[in-house]
Amino acid sequence: MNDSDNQWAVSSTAAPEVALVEDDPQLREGICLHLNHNGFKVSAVNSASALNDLLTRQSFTLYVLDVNLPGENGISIATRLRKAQPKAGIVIMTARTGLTDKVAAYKQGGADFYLTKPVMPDELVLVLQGLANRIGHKNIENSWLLRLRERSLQTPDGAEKLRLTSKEKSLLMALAQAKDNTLSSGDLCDMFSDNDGNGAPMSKHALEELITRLRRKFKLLTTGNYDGAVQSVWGVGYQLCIPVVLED
Amino acid sequence: MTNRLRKLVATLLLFFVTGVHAATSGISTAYFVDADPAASLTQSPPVNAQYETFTQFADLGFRKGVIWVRVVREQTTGAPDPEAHVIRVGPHQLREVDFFFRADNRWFLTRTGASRPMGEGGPCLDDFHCLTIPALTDTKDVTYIRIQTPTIFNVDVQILTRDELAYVSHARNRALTTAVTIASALLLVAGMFALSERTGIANAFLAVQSSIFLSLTATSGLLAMWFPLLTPASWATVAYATIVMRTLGLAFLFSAMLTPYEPARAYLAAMRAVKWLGVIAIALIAIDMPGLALRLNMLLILAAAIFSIYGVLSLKTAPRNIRIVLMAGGVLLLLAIFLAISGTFNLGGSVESTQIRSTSDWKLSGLVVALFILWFVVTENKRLEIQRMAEAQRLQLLASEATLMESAAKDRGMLVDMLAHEIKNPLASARFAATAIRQQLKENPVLSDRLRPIFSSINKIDRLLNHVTTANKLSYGTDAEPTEMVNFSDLIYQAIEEFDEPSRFKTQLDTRISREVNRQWLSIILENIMRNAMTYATPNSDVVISLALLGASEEEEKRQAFPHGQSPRQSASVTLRVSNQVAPENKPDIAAMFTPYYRHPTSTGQPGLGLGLNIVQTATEKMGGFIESWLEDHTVIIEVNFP
Repeated sequence: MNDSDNQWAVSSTAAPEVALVEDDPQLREGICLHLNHNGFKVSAVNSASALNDLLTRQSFTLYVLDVNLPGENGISIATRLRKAQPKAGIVIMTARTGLTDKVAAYKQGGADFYLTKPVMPDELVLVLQGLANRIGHKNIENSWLLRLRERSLQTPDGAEKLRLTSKEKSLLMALAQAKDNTLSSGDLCDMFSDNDGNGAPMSKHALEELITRLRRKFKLLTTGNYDGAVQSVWGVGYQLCIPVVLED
Repeated sequence: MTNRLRKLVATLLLFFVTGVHAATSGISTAYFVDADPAASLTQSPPVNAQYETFTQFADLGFRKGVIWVRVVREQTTGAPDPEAHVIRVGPHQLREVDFFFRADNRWFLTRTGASRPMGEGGPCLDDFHCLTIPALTDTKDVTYIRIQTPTIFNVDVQILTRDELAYVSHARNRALTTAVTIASALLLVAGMFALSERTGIANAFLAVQSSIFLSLTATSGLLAMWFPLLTPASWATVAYATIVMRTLGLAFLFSAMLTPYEPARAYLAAMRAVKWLGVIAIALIAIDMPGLALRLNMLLILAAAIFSIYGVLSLKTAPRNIRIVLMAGGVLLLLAIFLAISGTFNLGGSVESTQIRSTSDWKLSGLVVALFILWFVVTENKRLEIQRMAEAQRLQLLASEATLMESAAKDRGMLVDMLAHEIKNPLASARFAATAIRQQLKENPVLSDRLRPIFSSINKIDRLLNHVTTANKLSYGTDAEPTEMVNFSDLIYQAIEEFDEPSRFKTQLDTRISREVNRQWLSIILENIMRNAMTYATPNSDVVISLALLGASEEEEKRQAFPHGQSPRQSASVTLRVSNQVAPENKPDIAAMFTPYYRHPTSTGQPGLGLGLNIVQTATEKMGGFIESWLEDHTVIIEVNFP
């Protein structure tokens, strides 16, 4: 692994521009703040007609669309956008969890990702980064493919696939998004806080077990030696040493 | 119609003619009961015995011994020229009828009766027994008739001229033919009714009508004439049996009618006794004790009629109109018995004209019984039709209620979905806001730590909402159910890895089991059932998961039969069993485990809605399986069976 491999995440000097269509003002503001903070330039509107106005003045390659909107819904907007911009990155973000909604978003709307509310902010960032990379053709050829829905990690040559638990998937996503792909143990423990109890962070011992299990899975791969895919960084935490792009 | 009218007029005229004739031409009849039959058989007629006069009918009932009838002809002044007469004695089933006629100072004996071939020794053109006596040459002559029979002594003695005989025999034959025709037609109807309906009443009607037809043809000598294979004496015995069978048939019919309406147990017991006594009566006939058998039969028919009225009164579930019909039937039966007994023992002069005494009587052809059954069946059908309509109306009402309830449930489901949907927006806002704050406070771990409960709460609410929406979707969802080949053990291992303490799961899995199922549903089942086990298991105890094929030997045979590929059809069901120990003081409510929103008292402090196992059950049933649970030595076992 060389340094250039670790620079696979968003590294372009020009901030990717994102059009956000969300009718809930508080959520719209929250998403804007978060994405801006993570290096995106966001233009937010509350309806399809407002988006149409926006598109007359400015073009975008990334879209985050809610489904339930006043007037034209998100799926219909996605359908239009996909026809007009076949290479655009479209993320549907909705509270609907039904299979028919998902199928409609992917098949009819041509969405790249379907995220259900309350979406994890970091996941949204990573998804948009992945799409930005895809559009910019950055280091995709040698990247591992992290499939969110399927919870699997595919080797760059596509020959092998690792089945992941939800925690392993979240761990990889978090490391892939972090600066230098590195996160402290404390941050990671916080991330896996006890959802059912009082929100206490995961113990360090449990985190080590999680990392060990993940490493063991990498060792099972036969097409190469990937023992160093997740490395410990002395005094800091853990670093992801392979390029990862996302797919729904 | 004209023929019937003519027959009626002729019959009435006949009674008038015979009665008047005996009075005006000096002919008198008298009877004498000889209690010592042995003497009667060896001696000549008891000329010096004390005879009692009678006119045409001697209704003597059951009598021990031999009946002697004396017919005296006397020349009276002003009478027309003497002419020959015919003495006509009936009914046919009188076993021995011997005529003693005196001429030239000698007794001439002519033997007739049911035990002899019909028509032997007499000029009768019907089933009666006759003797011709020449015209009176002296001032007076006497003829004696010796009658021996084990049955009831109802003797009909007529003294007629030859012309009158032809007329009377013809009328008698017409009456008999009518009765037999009616009985045959009704037998045919009963047969068709039994074949088409196949009910107790239809079978009972067939039994009754068969016995009526048999008794009618047997007691009138028709059976003996149609089937000469048996001797007339044997047919006479059969005739007695058919009389008992008729009684049994009537009892059986009435019992079949009453039974569906729950009569008193005493009635049913009594009717059973009547049937068995009837069988005994038939057995008595078989061992040549017909007299006793027919006495018993008379008691049985009387008892059956009385019991039937009691049975009708004791009915628990009969509607009013059916009760009226049955009561009418009971009363009718009792009336018929009364008339028969009255005729047998000459009890009531005032009811003489309605007495049942003749085998050619239309009342005995089964017509009354058939009409009664028709009345009953029509009433019953009408009642059933009303009942069916009421039932249909009730079902329609239930269906409407079910539709309404389903609609209401769907509305509730939609409301829950909408609420969940609407809550998720603010929840997402809260998460983004908290994330933003955390990023700002990254350098201040103490303050950052204060945000942890917010994230935790958001996660909890999100999980609860997902639970509710999943349960809703399973109950009311109309989504398509895509299936794929899933290896059960792989999915179980994946589910285990999701838990914080995967080492607590002990597995005994058949790793070969794969099925074409909906992966999402199976995952939901596994996650919830395992989470339930982990929640309620005693601390640090193991949760045991086993996976096997039920009927695995059959499956194995198929594998061997198809060594290079999968067998064409998977018949064995997959059994997934998850068991966990519970503390002795925690008494799991097995019956309520799968009830939605049920939560064990020990877990009410923890987050959750009590939907987990209900979701497992619903998803299992959607996959065509079923779920069971039980408790064994402080171990809760939940077993899920997939087809």
